[in-house]
Amino acid sequence: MDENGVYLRDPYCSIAANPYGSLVSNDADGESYNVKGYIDFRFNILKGLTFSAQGAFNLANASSYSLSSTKREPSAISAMGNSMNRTVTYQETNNLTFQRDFNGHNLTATGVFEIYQKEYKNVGVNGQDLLSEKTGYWNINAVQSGLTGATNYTKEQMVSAFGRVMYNYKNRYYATATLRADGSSKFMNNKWGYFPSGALAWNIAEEGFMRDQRLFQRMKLRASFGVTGNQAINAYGTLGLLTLANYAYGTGTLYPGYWQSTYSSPDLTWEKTYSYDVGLDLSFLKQRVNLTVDWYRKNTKDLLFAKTIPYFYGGGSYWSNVGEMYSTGWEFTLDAYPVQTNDFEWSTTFTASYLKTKVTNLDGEDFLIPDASRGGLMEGNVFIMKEGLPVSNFNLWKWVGLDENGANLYQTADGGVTTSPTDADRVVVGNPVPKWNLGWNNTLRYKNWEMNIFFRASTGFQRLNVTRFATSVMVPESRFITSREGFEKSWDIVANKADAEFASSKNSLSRATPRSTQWLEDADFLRLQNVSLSYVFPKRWTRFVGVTLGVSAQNLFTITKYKGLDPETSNSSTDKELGLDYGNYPSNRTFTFTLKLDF
Amino acid sequence: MKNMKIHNMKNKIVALCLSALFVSSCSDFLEEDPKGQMTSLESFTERTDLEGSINALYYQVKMASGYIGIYAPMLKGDDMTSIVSKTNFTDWDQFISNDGNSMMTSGVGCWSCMWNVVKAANYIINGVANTPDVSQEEIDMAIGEARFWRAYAYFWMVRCWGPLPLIVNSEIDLDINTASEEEVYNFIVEDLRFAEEHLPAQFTTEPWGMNGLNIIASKGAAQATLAQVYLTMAGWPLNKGDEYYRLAVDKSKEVIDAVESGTYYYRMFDEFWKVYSRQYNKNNTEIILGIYFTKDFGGGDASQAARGLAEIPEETGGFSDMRAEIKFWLDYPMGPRKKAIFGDVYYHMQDQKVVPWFYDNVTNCNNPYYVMYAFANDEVEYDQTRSYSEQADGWSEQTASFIRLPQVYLWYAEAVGRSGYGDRAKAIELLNTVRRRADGKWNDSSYNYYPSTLSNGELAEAAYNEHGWEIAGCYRSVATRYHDQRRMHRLGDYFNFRLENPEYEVTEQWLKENPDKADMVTGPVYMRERVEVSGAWSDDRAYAPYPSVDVSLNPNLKR
Repeated sequence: MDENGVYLRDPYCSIAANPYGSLVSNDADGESYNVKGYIDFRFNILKGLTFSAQGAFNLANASSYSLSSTKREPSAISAMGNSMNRTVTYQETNNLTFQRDFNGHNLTATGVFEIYQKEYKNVGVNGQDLLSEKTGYWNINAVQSGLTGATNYTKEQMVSAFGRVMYNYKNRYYATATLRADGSSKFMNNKWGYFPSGALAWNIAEEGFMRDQRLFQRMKLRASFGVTGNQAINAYGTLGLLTLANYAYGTGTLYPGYWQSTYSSPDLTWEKTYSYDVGLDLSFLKQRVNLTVDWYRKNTKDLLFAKTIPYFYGGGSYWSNVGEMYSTGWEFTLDAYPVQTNDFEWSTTFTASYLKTKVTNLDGEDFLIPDASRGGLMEGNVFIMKEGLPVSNFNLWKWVGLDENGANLYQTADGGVTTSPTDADRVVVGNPVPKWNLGWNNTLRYKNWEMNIFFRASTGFQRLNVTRFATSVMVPESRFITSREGFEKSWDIVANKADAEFASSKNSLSRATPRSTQWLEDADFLRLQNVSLSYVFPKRWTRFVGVTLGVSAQNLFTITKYKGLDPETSNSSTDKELGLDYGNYPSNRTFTFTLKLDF
Repeated sequence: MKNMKIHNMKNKIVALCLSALFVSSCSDFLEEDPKGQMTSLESFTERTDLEGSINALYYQVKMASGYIGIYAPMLKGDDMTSIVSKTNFTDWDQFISNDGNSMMTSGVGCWSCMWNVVKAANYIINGVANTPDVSQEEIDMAIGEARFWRAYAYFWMVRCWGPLPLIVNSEIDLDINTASEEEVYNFIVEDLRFAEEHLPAQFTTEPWGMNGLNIIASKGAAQATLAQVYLTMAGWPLNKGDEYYRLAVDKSKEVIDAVESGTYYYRMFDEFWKVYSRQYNKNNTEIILGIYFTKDFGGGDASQAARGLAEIPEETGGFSDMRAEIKFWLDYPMGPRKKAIFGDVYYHMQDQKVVPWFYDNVTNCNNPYYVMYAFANDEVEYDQTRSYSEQADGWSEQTASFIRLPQVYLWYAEAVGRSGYGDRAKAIELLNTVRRRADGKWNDSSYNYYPSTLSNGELAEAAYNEHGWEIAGCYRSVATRYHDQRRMHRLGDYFNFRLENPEYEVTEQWLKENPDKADMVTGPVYMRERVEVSGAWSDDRAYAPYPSVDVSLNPNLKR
């Protein structure tokens, strides 16, 4: 701080304002009020025929306030923002159900009609150069320059109808058939999608010939087929809206104008996933061991994808139904009760799932790039989709080490090495989606003590450690290397050049890029997700109150070779862009103390 | 019993009706109503949409002017270099072809921003005639503005990438062919001729005309740009020669005559420091084509302000994206113009003292630096003896000048010299006007640096050099040092000079220019460029690679 209380900037490195100064002198506040209502009617019209109607209503009113102070850095101008928004959601469902039992046959038929609407409105003001910071963000009249406002409106609606028939015979044979139709407002022309599904189950253990065996207490074979739809695009995404652009001509007034920046997608429609599932449920050893196995395959057609428009047409993207992909896998759950005595009980559950995905058709395109607009520190796109590959892939330059002058060397398309690779030299390498996800949960009880231990692991995936790149290379944001290993193991500093792990910062021919396999790491991990211990006080001590005291820890430790803070972290959670560790917060480690009282 | 049954039925009917109330009409219910936003069906349906479209066009032009990143290719010239840690910039300085260079495609990238200008221009050209309640004159003026900037963007891009697809509407054709350089230049000339005819000489209504200045492109701007286009077509690679030098002579003469007759208000300042000063920032009569900025709405890439610290040394709070080359600084003639353009000293924040630019306790670079873009926050001129961080926050409202009047004088002089056509005496007189002002002798009409006995060849070279000095480090100029060297096919010689990378002693010259600061120099300082060049020259290096993203979407995009 200087003598006026203004926070100073780092004189050596960093181009950003002092983060502590910004934290302390600026304000960023918000609040949210929610009102929810729910109404439920139920009528018995005839024997076996019921009608019910539910209405749900949610009104959320949120505000957001901000103040930037002149004290946050030298020569700073103060600024304020104040905005309020309201979201109203309502949903209304009507359900007509008919149920009949006769002669061991059990039939249920249902018809449902539902509507849904969500409406969002927003108003806000911003201004600069406040007359006095004492009024904070509450007095827009204190703004002396740069007064602007913002208003927003979006609305999305859906109408759905479906009919379902469920039948079972003596709890032995089950069959279900459903037909569903959904209409979404987000598609310009093709608003409706039709989604049938069906399922069969055979409870083998209930069969006559199984009556006399003692091995299995439960044996159920299941198979199902269904179509689901996806309409996850933003409202108005297919309309091709005009974009607002303001220019001030160097004055204090903004002159607005419109131009055509986005393209419309009039033929866009629902993305459909055809799912097939076959499963087996087994219980044996007097229900002490239960096993569930499922195999599934999901074929997705008409993938909703934002196709890239070349820069010479203005860049950006437009929505398109493009191509097909599938995902397939296995899921196992094994739960067992090895010990069950009065004083000591131990139950354990083991789960495992395996996932594989593949893109089968890109509608004639050689490839699609999901993140074509990525720039900044990343310099460009990282991911790519191609026929025959999984849905998510890294597309990076292959780093082969340092040359005799400390410059980074990359492999070229024809197998050579270079210090200045071109885009054609990038290869598909690495996969951010885990192949296997495993879990192991144990619950132990000894008298009044109960302990729970839960491990989690994932294997077969990678992460791109951009954080490690940004701290070990001289990026513009920090102007210099900010990690110890980046400095001590840099080619310029090490005594023996063969030990250098990072390129020279003084060699003008060396190119440092985050899109290189130097930063791609295996992220397999084993994590102690949950450990908890609780004690139920005996009733004779506590009389009329039941008291339970407990302590638990989440994410206690993680075993992994990954050098970053958290192997599961990712900048984005969409399946096409998963896997960048780009300065995200790691998962928290939480300790909880619980006191439970039952009256 | 019967009554109760009927009562129950009534309840059920009421419930069914209530639920029916929620559903008015199925198909209407799903219609989208983007209140507050407009769909393309509402383009140009009201009188004010015409002005609005010009505002939107200038927003794109502003986005294509605010930051050094858009002008990174200009580093290929011999007046500018960058620092070792910024490969996105040094790739250009080193003539390295990198089709993934993010300076081309980022939000403030050279390829992407220039095409947005073309797109916004096409929006106007193809639709503005539908605007109701406006005169034909207004429509022509709007189309004139649009065609001017479309031509300007193409002119900038063709001297960087060469052949380009000619985009005239907004339908996406991913197989569109790439037109040859000659076709692109002819396309540019046609657009500029239309603009010249339909843009007024002077705008009188705000905000297009303010303080007696033209804030947007005018007839004079179209003529001056056309003169530079002709001058470029006469040189490499089209090599049209004398025919086009003569066209350049005539076109620049039209501007010069209009200035002298008073039709155009453009005037040179008497002292050079005023050109880039804060005091005359909104009253700069030299600027024929410029873009205006303001900080009233804050900073940021998409704000109404420009970046102000790209050229300033890191040690005093700048980015140092662009620095001056040592040889260029050494050869630059001493005088008030040099003082206004180059910084002599700066405040070193870590060592806490004022140091000369060649001070060696630096992370990346101790080259000379360009100080003319440094703009202080308060209403005072920038002070080299205080740190940049203390005086400014990185965002600036300095007016960007694309074309200044003295540049037109020098183009006239060079075109006359190259072709032998036109008024040579006049050309030498104009050449001397520019140099007289540069040397601080504006009021001494007897001061003529260049003798009237100059031959055509000498005149041409003198004007060529003088232009390079006049717009040194001014990467936004319609013609930078890179452009001049390229059209005279001299980039190869320059590349070979950088391969040699000779060493220079700088304190001798610096002390001549700063005799009062002798105590800052302890001994001779030998320097060479830290950014090294490797390989061999081929004319291919005078062209930039097309961005790989666009090439992958349209394989026809090639030279």
